[in-house]
Amino acid sequence: MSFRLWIKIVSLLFISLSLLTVFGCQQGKKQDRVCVIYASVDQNFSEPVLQHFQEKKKIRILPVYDVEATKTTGLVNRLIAEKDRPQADVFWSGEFAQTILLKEKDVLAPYLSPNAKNIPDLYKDPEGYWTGFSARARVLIVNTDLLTSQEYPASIFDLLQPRWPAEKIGIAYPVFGTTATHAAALYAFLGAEKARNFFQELYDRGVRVADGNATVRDLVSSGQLIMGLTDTDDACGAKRRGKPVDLVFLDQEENGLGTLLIPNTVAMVNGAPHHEEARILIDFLLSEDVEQRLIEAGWTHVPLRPLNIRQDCLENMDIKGMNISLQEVYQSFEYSKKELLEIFIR
Amino acid sequence: MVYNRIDTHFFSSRRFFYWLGTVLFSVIVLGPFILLLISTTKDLFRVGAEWLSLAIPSGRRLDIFLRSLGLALSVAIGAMIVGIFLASFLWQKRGRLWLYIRWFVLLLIAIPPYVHALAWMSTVGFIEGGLRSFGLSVLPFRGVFASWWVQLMALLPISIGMSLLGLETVNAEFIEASRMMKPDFETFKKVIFPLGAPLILAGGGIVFLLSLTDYSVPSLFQVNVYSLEIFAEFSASNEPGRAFLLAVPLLLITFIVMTFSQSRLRNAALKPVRLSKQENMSMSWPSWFLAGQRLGIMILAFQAFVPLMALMVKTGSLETFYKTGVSAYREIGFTFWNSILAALICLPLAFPVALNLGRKDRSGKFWWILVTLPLAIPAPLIGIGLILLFNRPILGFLYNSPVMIVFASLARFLPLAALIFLAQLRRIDPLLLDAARILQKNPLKTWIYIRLPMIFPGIIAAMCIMFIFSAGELGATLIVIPPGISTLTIRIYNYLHYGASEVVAGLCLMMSAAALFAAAAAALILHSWKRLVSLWRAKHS
Repeated sequence: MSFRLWIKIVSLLFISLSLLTVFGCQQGKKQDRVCVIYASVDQNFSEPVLQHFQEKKKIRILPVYDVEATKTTGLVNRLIAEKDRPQADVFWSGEFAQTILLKEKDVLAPYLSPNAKNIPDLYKDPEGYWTGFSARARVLIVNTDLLTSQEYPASIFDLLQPRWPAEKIGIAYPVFGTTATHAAALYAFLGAEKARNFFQELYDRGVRVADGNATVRDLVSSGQLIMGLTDTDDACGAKRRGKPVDLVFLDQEENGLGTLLIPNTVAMVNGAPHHEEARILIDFLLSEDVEQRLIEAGWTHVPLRPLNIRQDCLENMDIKGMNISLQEVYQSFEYSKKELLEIFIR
Repeated sequence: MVYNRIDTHFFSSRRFFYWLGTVLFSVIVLGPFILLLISTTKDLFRVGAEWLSLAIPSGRRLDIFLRSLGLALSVAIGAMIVGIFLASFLWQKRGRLWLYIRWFVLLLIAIPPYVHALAWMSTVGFIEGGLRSFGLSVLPFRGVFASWWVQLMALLPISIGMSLLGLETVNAEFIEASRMMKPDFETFKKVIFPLGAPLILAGGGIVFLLSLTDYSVPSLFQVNVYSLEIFAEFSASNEPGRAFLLAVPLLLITFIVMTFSQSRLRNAALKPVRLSKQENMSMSWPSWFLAGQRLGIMILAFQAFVPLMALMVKTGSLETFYKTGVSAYREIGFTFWNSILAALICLPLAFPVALNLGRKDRSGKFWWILVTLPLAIPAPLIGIGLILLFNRPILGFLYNSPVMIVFASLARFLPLAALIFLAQLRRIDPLLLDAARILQKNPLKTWIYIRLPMIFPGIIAAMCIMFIFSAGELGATLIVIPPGISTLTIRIYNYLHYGASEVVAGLCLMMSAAALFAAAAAALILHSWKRLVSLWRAKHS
């Protein structure tokens, strides 16, 4: 047998085996009842919920999880890029701005879940393209070794006070993730000028701008910072692990601003390949049982409907949210990001 | 044109593989790039010339761009200086132990730069605590210096590896001839270093590019860099076209850097060189150079010791390590096979391209542009490009399969494999090839016993780099990973966010162990192969 012929036979065999493997995998998959979900929620919290669904409903869940390190450029952009030939059935996000963006990009399909009836309209899309449930909140995490409870700030504007050294206060870049959403909410609530001045002063003071909310949490937990703005899941996680930290909800007085509540959102993908399974999964995620599980696990802390559940880390705390609609926050998003990019990334 | 002769000789009878490799390389590496370019051009027609301003940094963006260039350049220069000192030390040392040490140097590429940063922050925090107890204060570990140091630590193995490869390619006869007439250091300065410089510079170029496109470490130390600006824009607009246009200055810089190293590398590649001899080289260095080598060894020790110790301390116990491994066994297995597949597939695809890169005509220059430009594209954009390329009805069977993760790794790192192959081609002795061609009875045996051993170190180096970089790939993988599958890196970053530092540390140690396994396997294969070939030669001589 000549060398050339031998090589050709080997390469043909290799190509045939590769194709058989790939097709074989596809055939195997087709036999199950499946639902594909893209989840921008920490895998530690979302995975057990999805596994529970899988066991209960006998529908195989195929998840793709996002990571914070990609600066929210991961799954949302994947969904947009896949718009003409969608692969996902359901999108579950830990916040709402990216979900509203997906609606505007025609990536989502309307679905009104019967389980969302007792969720206030403020947290639902009027046309049913997405539904909010179980919220996290923005919170100030403080290091209890470095600050006594009498010294805790009460308002977000206290972060501008010289009483607390700026280099010991942390925030994440306000152009990514929930910090960007918080900033957009402040823009919407206070007006562009006041909000811009606030962030400009914060920057000029020299507060520590960290890579993400998790980094703020770590820097405060380790004592490198006295305090920082983050989300309740980060702060409660540190508290649960026994770190010397406490949570302070800002602007809680009667006429105060309140803190931003960030609901999870779930939506059906337009042209979802497994439409029926997607409906079942959305109904499941919007059930009170899941809300309870998420709160108990420590992912969310504020139920959006009358449920008598409270996460242990927030015991005896009543949280006053900002009186602003999610749509209003979203509308400030683009503008606030553009301005804050100019202020913080230079 | 000896190089062209090698080219012809190797592949004239195997054009099928040459063209297959070239076409597949073009599809996987250039396909996403070209589709992004087309998509951006369409956007420009839709939106108008307004977006074009993104491609030209001005005002604030220009400041950030210049700062990024400064940081990347200083990291590259630092890595090259330390790399040269260390490589000159390791280059003299032969024997099995030193061979293992050489492979060990590559290991810590497997630890994400972000984890290097966390390890150094913890270490400096620990030192600070100690100093404070003596009433001393230290400067905070952040800003440009901290960012420079951590990036240097994370990217140093690349520079050492390429410098070592550069020194190894120098013809031993030239060195011997020069040493008879000039002192050792003069020989190093005037013969060894200039001949090894192309690869040393290529290593510096790769470090420069990796530093320029990394935002994770600088942002952790409060240094805003241009790649963060691209991500911020992409995150704010969700328009790949805008991010692509913002990346244009990086593309130009990549082109300039690679053109600079190209001119030298290509000229050098055309010169016939013989394999350097394997005996020990005992050089006498001036005292300042010896001091530099010792400093380099210290830096290397820190580079390996600090992250590994920090990871081991954070992991806490063997039990935690074991539990972490058990909980992530699927991701570990999947990452391992995916990386092996990427390492294997890179060979037939990168090799023909290395030959194209070595061409002296215009097509050679053109290939240099095509191969190096995708290196500057942010990883998520490569992922988007892969979606544009593969998410089609006819290719659905591929798009929904784990093969996409291999493609993501190949799309990002195949150019590096091709560059390593090109470097290896320099080491082929054309006289030996000519002799083999004249005397050959069976082309398969000639190929296996004569030609393959000559390119074997390049194969192993390319496979190792591909394996390690594939295992750590995140940005493009996340965009194309099929539902229901996860990789070890995705899990690490998930836990990083969650704050489970002991799990992150355990998983990073596992990643290092996988890299160690890959390097050990490579060294073993290389060693066995050499023995096999020498036995075969002894039998037939």
